[in-house]
Amino acid sequence: MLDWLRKFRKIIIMVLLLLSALLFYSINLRDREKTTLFEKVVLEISAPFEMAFEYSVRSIRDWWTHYVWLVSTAERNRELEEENRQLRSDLLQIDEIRQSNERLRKLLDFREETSLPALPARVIAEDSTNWFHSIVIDKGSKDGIREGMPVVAAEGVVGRIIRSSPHVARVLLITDASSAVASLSQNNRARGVCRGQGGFLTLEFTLRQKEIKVGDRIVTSGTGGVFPKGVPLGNVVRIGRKSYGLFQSVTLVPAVDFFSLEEVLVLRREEE
Amino acid sequence: MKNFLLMLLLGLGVIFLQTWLFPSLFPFRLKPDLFLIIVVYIGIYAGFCRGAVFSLFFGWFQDVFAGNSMGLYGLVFLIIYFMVRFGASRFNVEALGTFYYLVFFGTLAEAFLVCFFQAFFTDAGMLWYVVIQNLFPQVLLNMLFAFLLLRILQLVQWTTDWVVPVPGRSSHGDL
Repeated sequence: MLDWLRKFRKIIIMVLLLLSALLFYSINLRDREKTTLFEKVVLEISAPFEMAFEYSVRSIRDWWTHYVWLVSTAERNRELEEENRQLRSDLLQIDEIRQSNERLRKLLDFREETSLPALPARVIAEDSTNWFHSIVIDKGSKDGIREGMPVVAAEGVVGRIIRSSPHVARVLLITDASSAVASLSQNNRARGVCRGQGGFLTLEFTLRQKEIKVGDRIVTSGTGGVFPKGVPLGNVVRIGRKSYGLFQSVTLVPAVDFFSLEEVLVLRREEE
Repeated sequence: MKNFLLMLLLGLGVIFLQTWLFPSLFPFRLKPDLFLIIVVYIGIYAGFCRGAVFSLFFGWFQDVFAGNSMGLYGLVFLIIYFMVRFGASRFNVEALGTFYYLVFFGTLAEAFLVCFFQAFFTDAGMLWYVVIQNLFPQVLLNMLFAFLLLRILQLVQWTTDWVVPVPGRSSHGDL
């Protein structure tokens, strides 16, 4: 028996290790929304280094853009003034629409939606592989961040919190293949599920007969339980409608530019 | 304890490079998989048990910063480690090309195993599509960084008394 064990020692160790690793993986899949102690420790150890490097690079970049790179400042100033004028006129129109919207809401006795408190956070690191899409932010459970909270930017949805340690948290981006967001078309209210495809998104389970056009904006429907209603997800760039089948295939470009994402807002739900 | 600290420092260093430095350097935020290259290296030169523990640990380290499934890369790197050991016992690891072949096939195996386990155990969506999209640049970057790692190891060997086995040169010892 001892000889047999000695003879097959390596194979036994290999099988035991592989089974343990598989078991560890499958156990963690059951509790995907929880952050393990190992993850918390590693995230906490790496956080100060990432924050320090992020801060130093940002300082250098700010110094460079503010004091050195002034070649196109006059031209940029003129463009901004023009844009400002345009925005002012848009704002007047929006104000008019807001007032009429308020009147209509009162008329229909709509309950005022309470806006969720938002916590600003800075992106300090990215996913360590090319195949998954996530970011690390500089706020954690000490700031009230919990797994499952929605994360947005000024342009639209960013993702949701999947891991949180005391000082940092990880956000799974909507472009990740495992992300799915209940969504609807802003124009004709056609419903579907937005899924990540790496650099872009697809709208799935949208009925063929629903008329969706290139350029339409897709927003969150609020029915998934994570994101509030009406936050932009992306714009339609391609539609595939076959002569058969129940659904159409819709491709979107995300509203948020994930390549240049630096700050995000974590929306904290009331009960949390 | 010394080995554990070495693993921790190496893991932290690689994580810093992959999550912070490389995305800022390369277009489209691409990054090489340094952990995979290290797993291939230790598959050739490390002792059986120590190498397996290192691979598992590096995989879990990767898991903390990649995707949403803790334990996935631990399992994947462990399988790749055993595959590399199997390959290394049959090929001439003194030949420089063997290391590159192993990194090349290791990258393909990693892509396949990640897709397989995610599709088999979770709702992976179109992960295979994302993986195929990025596979070619991933292979190129991994090969480039395997080359750079060998150059760094050679430099270490030439400039210090530290004996490190370098593929393509006669190995001076076991890690």
